[in-house]
Amino acid sequence: MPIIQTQQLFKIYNEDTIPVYALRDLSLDFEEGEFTTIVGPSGSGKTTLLNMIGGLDTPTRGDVFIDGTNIASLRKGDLIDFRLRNIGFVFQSYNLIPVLTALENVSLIMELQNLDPKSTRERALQVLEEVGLADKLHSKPSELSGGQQQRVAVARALASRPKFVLADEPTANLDSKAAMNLLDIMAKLNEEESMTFIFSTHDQRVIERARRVVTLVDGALHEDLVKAK
Amino acid sequence: MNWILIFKLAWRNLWRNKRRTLITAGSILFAVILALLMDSMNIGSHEQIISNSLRFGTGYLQIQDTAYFETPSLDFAFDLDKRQEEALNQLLRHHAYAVPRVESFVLAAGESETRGALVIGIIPELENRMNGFQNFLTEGKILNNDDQMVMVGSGLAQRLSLSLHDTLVVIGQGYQGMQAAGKYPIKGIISHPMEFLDNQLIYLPFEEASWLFVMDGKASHWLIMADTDKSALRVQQEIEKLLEGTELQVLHWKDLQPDLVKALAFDAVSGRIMQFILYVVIAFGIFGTVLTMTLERQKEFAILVSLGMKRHILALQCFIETILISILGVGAGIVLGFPVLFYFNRNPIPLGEGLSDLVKEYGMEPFLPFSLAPTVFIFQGITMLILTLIITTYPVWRSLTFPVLENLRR
Ligand SMILES: Nc1ncnc2c1ncn2[C@@H]1O[C@H](COP(=O)(O)OP(=O)(O)O)[C@@H](O)[C@H]1O
Ligand SMILES: [Mg+2]
Repeated sequence: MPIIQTQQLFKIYNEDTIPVYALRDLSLDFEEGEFTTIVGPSGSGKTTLLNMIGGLDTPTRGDVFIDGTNIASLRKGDLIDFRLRNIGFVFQSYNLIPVLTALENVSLIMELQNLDPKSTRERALQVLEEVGLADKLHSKPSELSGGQQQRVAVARALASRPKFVLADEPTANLDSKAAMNLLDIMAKLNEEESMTFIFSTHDQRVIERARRVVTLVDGALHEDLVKAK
Repeated sequence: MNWILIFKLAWRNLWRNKRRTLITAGSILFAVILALLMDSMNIGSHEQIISNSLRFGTGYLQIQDTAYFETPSLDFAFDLDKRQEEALNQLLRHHAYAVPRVESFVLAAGESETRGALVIGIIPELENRMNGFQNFLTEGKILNNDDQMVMVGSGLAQRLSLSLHDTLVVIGQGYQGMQAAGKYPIKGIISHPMEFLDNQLIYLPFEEASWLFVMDGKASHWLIMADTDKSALRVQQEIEKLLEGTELQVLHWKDLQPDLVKALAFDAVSGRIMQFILYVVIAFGIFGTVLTMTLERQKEFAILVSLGMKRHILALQCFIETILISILGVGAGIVLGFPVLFYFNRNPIPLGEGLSDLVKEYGMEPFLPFSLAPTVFIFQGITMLILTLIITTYPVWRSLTFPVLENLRR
């Protein structure tokens, strides 16, 4: 069974006046362990799609199934809890919690899940090591570069071993060296932890690294390309 | 729920903008100290007025004939029989004591002048225990129980042009219309702190007063002094039982001086209004801080909720932040305010000349007294807490309802 399934997904803004089709009849499956990028020009619906899959936004029509659960069936509070337990998020502008250190940011999700402090700490240390920040454990976000902050954000997203990680243009704010470094780390974690990554981008070099490329144009599926290994 | 995480976030958020938090807590601190001073002075002066009026006037309780309150005439004087007096003493023992009184207005005359005056028949030892009148003696000596002499207020002495050892003549009406007249040498002159009493006061030993007014040992009323108002109320209940079926009743000082109670209540309300205004000003200050603290973090709120923090946990975190600011301010205010109040409690501020004469006329001592009563502190604490609770509704409401997506896009 696919880990994520969208069925005839529509998102229409201003339906009563001048409708804007942000998503148009989108049916997509994503399997466990994928390393997939969503591409398309600005305004093509990448963010909207990721928000639907992440349970942050609700479709106008159609359904999103995560691991068999129709997320529209969840009540608001349960949906938040569902996100906490199943979905990792990486945002374009890092969005770390400024008052917490790198280690605390990475521990945050596990602490919200009430995991025991010892294994939380061990796991957070491990993941920060994997993203190459073992020497920045106690730095606050303001003391880290953009690339380092985004690596903390990736570490935060997957430390609690969610079913998949969604990243909306994670490299958009990074210079190309930091962007490639982040991609390397994501690819490595995809291999080593078999973590599913779905990220959007319009950076050609980033697209080349993905194993599946889903292209959107005007909210509709334009191309779904799976590269041979 | 991870309380450690919530408190950590709340505490760190407080210190994100150190200056703002300190200024806010500081404004609470000053408000609390100011309110403490106002309240302490207010309650302090009330305590003083009440204490004076109890010690020099009514006592905590009075046993009187049921008709005496309406018509304070010697005709309603009474004797406690042996059994009643014993029961009374039994009942009072540690917390209170009873003082018999004869009180009546007379005409007092010196060599050439005559004035209305108040004769109070006292048992000097008990009177002294009650109000320390011995301390106000300026000339001569204190009365003994078997003296046939008087002590007078310095104001009265002056008005009648009398000095120590001169003879005072009193003429009045005794028990059941009998003639009461006497001639007494002045044994002592006291400068009574309550000016209206000082101008008309004549102390006689109880026995002598009873003889003068032909009362055969009867008292016009009995005062009961207690150590606190609370024990007075308890004693009152027991005395009520004791007096059941007699012509006598026991009245509380609040019944005896309804005007005083009303005046104090009015004064207390005006004090509270001043404090209320002060607190409203402070509350707006806190609200401003809390408002910016909430609105400037909408994106962060959105991230936390996206990541999986439930809204009510976010609300709790905001609640704790606001309460912490308030506790910081109130705590510091009380900690710093206490020594200030303590100092003024021990060293009351003396009033300037003009003001001092004025308050003396109202029977008050010429000092600004400060109370250290726990209610002073508890009231400020609770008021601040309630205000803070009202203020927290904003960040709590906001974190429960803000739109996630819009704020994520910021
Ligand atoms: N809240 C909104 N109200 C109206 N239109 C919106 C809103 N959010 C997104 N859109 C529109 O939906 C389309 C897709 O937007 P988006 O998903 O952000 O594209 P991308 O992330 O690919 O740049 C755009 O045309 C955008 O203008
Ligand atoms: Mg976008």
